[in-house]
Amino acid sequence: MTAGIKELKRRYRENLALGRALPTHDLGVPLPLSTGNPLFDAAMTEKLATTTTLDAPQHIARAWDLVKRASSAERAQLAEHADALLNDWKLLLALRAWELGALDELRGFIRALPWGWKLAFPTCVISPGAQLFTGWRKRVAFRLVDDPKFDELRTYYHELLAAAPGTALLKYRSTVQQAMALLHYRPDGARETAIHDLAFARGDAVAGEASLEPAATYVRARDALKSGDSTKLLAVLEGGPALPITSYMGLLGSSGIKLGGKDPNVQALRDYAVHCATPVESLLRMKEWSPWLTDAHVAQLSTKIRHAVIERGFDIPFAKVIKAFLAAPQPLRKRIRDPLLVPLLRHFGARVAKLLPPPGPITFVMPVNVVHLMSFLLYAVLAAAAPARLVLVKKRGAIVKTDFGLDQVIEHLTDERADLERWLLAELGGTSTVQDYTYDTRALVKAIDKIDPAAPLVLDLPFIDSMDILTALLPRERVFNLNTAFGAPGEICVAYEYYQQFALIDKGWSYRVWSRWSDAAASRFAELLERLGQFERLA
Amino acid sequence: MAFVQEFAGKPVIRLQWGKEALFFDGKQPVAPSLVTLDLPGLKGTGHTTVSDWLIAYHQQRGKSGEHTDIAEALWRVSVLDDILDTRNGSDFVWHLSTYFTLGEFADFAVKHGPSLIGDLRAAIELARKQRASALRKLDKRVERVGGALYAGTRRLPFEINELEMAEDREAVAQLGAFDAMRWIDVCASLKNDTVKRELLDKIAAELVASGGDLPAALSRMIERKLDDLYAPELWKLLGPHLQLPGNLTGEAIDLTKAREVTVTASWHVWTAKRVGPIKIGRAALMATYDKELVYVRGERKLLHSIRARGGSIQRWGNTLVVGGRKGENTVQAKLLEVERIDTLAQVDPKSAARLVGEALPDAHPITTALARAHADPTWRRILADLLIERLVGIDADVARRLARAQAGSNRRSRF
Repeated sequence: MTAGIKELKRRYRENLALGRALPTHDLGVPLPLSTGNPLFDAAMTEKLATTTTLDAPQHIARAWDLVKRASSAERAQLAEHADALLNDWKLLLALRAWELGALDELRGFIRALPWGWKLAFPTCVISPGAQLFTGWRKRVAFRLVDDPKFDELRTYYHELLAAAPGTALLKYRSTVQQAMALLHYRPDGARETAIHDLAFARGDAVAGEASLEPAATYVRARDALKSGDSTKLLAVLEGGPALPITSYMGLLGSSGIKLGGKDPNVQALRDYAVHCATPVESLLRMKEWSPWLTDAHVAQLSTKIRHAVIERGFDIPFAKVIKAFLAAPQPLRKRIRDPLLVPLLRHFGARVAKLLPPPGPITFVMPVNVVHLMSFLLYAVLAAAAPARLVLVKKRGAIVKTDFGLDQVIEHLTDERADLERWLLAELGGTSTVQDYTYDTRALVKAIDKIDPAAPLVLDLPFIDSMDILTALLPRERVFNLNTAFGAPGEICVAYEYYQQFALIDKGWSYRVWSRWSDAAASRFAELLERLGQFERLA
Repeated sequence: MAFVQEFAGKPVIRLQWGKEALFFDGKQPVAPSLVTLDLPGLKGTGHTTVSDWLIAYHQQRGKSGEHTDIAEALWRVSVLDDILDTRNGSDFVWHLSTYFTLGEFADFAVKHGPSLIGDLRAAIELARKQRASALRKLDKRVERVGGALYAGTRRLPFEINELEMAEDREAVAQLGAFDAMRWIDVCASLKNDTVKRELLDKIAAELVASGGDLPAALSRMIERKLDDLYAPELWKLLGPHLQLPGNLTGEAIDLTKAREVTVTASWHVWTAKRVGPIKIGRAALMATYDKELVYVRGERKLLHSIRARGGSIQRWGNTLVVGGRKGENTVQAKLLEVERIDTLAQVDPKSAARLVGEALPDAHPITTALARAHADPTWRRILADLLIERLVGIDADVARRLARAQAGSNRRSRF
């Protein structure tokens, strides 16, 4: 039996009243949900960075206090769900396990961390500020664990280094350097000597260590590039293991070579960049690379991302995919739509649909005249994977549509404004020309009343506050609002962004012009559902 | 009368806010423009009235259903005289200068001005009893004719601008092959700021594409007094390619009041004094030196480092000072202390309490707060407040807010 949004919200409000939960403006993941256990909630939602009213040190003090008070049963439960926790919390829980000598628990939390964090574990034990803070606070000397147990920590670092892949050691060599310095670490054996050399010196010793590839390739590439000749660099890279894109770009940058520049080998250099970028990095760099990406590059990047996400199940957040797509210039958007976006959308739809268990169908409510493309896309994506219906609210009446699918929407994702309007006009008629946010709330309430209260309802009705709608939402279990919440117990606000463009206000009168950007709402929807699932599992 | 806008690539008119747009049938007007509808017998100008009229019109011509398209025979491009006899002419007076030329306004003034003045004089000269009703009869005409004449005065600068722009654009069209210095000289000789800006943007794009000498070009622009022109696109184009090396050495710079900013490319940054190489889009400290702004490479953490090293360090060939003779008692210097106290109180309360510098009695609030801070982290904030009050004397919450504002650029998130 899962707790459900209503219950999770009730527990949050209780904990907030008792001072055990932070207000949403002080949460890195601003969800008004609670498992009932402040430690579990914080580990999933409280990022240890400055928020509206709390600075990073205050978050850390609060977090460490919660971690120190955690019972062994609580820690064991968190270790079991380590992947659901924020990285800072995994690290703090690992620190606590270290303090208590619970090595199995420690390994559980460390395993769930990315390599950059794993390699910084000794730093966090000896000088936590260096890892947990940014800016001048990195140098603030304090310890969370009173006794670092240096000998044992060195032994554990041997274990970590032995498991670390060459790519991680190359990317995070300054992290390794800091940790080794704090540990007064003596490298043991040829591999560790090579790692030490890579971290503290030029890394020449990595040449003989096959397990440290691509570090050896990197060192050779760096030496080849000394003269500024990219031909020699390419000769070293050819056939070798792929360098991390950050290391590759660093090499080019330090030699003054730009991928958008006029180096005689620029085409081959671009090919290598596309070859060595990971799927996430490919998405992040799409806008930057758009001026020179060829059709072959687009195909290569798309295959790489599709393979990682769809075939290998690599979890790239939908938000990242959409952000990369929206950030790309219009011509590139058109080129990546079919090979990249469409397959990912279908995959995402299937994944999210699984997070919304029956009963269905999923109902989307939005105004007929101000269709927000991202919300529309979200509907279409889910409709392709699960039973769904669309309620289009008009100034008078509401239309229920069940025949609108992903295929129709996808074609228009790269439309210019006029083309999009033309399509909406053809599909929805003259009401699509109305520039107004007035809805027939009675018709909407009637439509809502006909839907199973346990079925999910996604609302995207901007600029409205209605007690009639709130009344209709009161009995509902799962309401996801892409705008400001009406306040129903089973309702959760996903995200909204309104910007005030202009305002004239006096004592008794005001005039305001707003614009609305709820793109983030649609992309955060999947993240919300994932978090909701995690809350339900830990509740 | 109605404004023609565009929807779905087609011209439409909207007669009322929140109502559907009306499309045109047959010949299409230009968007944007002003059209006059000729709908005989129309009772009002609202959307519903006009829609009903159009539906009836189409039905009389044998069309079934409810058609609201505006047929070719029902509209024409507006002329200035339309504001006098259309139902809603007054609504468009303010926008006339956009749609009509100075010549049309002059013709309108000649045609309607003298007769209106004559009628006004006649009304004014009437006996007092009849004067009000005579003037009332002229009210609508005065409003519309007067409004149109006023619109003509606003058209005048618009046309001057248009003429200058056309002349300048002709000069730009004859520029020929790119030669940065010659183009800059031509740019300085232009009359219109919009065209100057366009040309500067073009010069910037060409400079970037050809790998031209940016510092020399910028110096020439300054020499030709083009640096007083607001040119955001120029800096957007040049920004990523600009090198901003340090240009100040051998000086003592007081950074106590320095504020962290994210450097954006501008004339100001280009001409400013700089300590160390500055990067566009990165953080730098902005301080005042010799009554001028100076940019110092570094973030707010540099201020803490300087302070930790006794108040001054040598960097980039200069002496950087925090809390010097003049700055010791400034709020900015105190805010650095506030940040330190606040951080230590949270992560190491004992060290924070030691900042008091003397033993405090057991019953002292700071001693009490320290004792409780170990078991309950909410007391760490209280401890920080008490220490800030004792050591700095500024309201702790105000100080925290001010300190955050001093580090505008340094809001990195590690997630």
